[in-house]
Amino acid sequence: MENLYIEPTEFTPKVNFDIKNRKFELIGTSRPEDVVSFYESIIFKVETFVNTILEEEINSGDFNFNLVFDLDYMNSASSKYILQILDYFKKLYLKKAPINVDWYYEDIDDQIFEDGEDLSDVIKIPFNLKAR
Amino acid sequence: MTVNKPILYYKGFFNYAIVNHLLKELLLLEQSGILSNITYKKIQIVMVEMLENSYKYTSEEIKFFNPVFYLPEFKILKENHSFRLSASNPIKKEDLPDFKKHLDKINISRLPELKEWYKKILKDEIYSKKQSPGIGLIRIAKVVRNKFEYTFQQIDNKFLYYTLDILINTK
Repeated sequence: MENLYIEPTEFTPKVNFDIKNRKFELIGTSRPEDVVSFYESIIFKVETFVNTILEEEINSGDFNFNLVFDLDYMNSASSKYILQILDYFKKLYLKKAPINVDWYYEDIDDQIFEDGEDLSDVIKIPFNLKAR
Repeated sequence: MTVNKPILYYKGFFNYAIVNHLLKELLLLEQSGILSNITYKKIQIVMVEMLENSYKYTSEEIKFFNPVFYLPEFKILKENHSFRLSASNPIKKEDLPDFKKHLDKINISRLPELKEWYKKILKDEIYSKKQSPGIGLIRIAKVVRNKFEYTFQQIDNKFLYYTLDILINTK
């Protein structure tokens, strides 16, 4: 399966889905003009990857994955799609695969910190909340 | 009576490009020291949710039938130790009960209730095709922790002019 890389813009995040190195990164600002079409291809890729892993590798016991969210801003419309990405990885987490989620924030007063707490609580996967 | 001049003002129908332009203007206010970094971030969240609500709601029907003097409007005013964000736009009269019900529910909810409500919508509508109505306003309420002030002014038999005022404390 090919990696997925999307260059960041002023209002959309960098996306780096590195299959070989077992890493998914979302970095920057998430306020796409068309949030559905921006996240559609990313979610399709994640879904395909997770389903492939579930069919092939998960029983080998050596699977792990790192998710990195380093956002300086995201709108509420983006939250839903980030949650969908996490929900696919949750399928692996429920199979006891070590899924590591690093969620970066700038300041304890930052809404991004609270967003991380909220999403972790909704998806029921622990996040490593890390100050930048 | 002294009337404050807005530090940011726009009148007209919003779209993505206009919101981007206004966000750049807001960033300049932060860079020039008028807004602290924490206040800037709070205003950014509130402003985006308010303006996205406005332009996603404003249909072609509303644009076509609405009188020119009831155009959408957005402004930020400095008031002592706070900033007042005010957004107005025409709405269909038939939508008034839903708007009012949602705003009233937000205003009577305490912070822990708002947090749980917000998470419930995220959870319930994770794969929903539609945009979750009103989730942006709940997010605003979580951030500002102040009650919303709002009015609905009659335009004609079909439309009302909705104004939402939100106060952001700097202390």
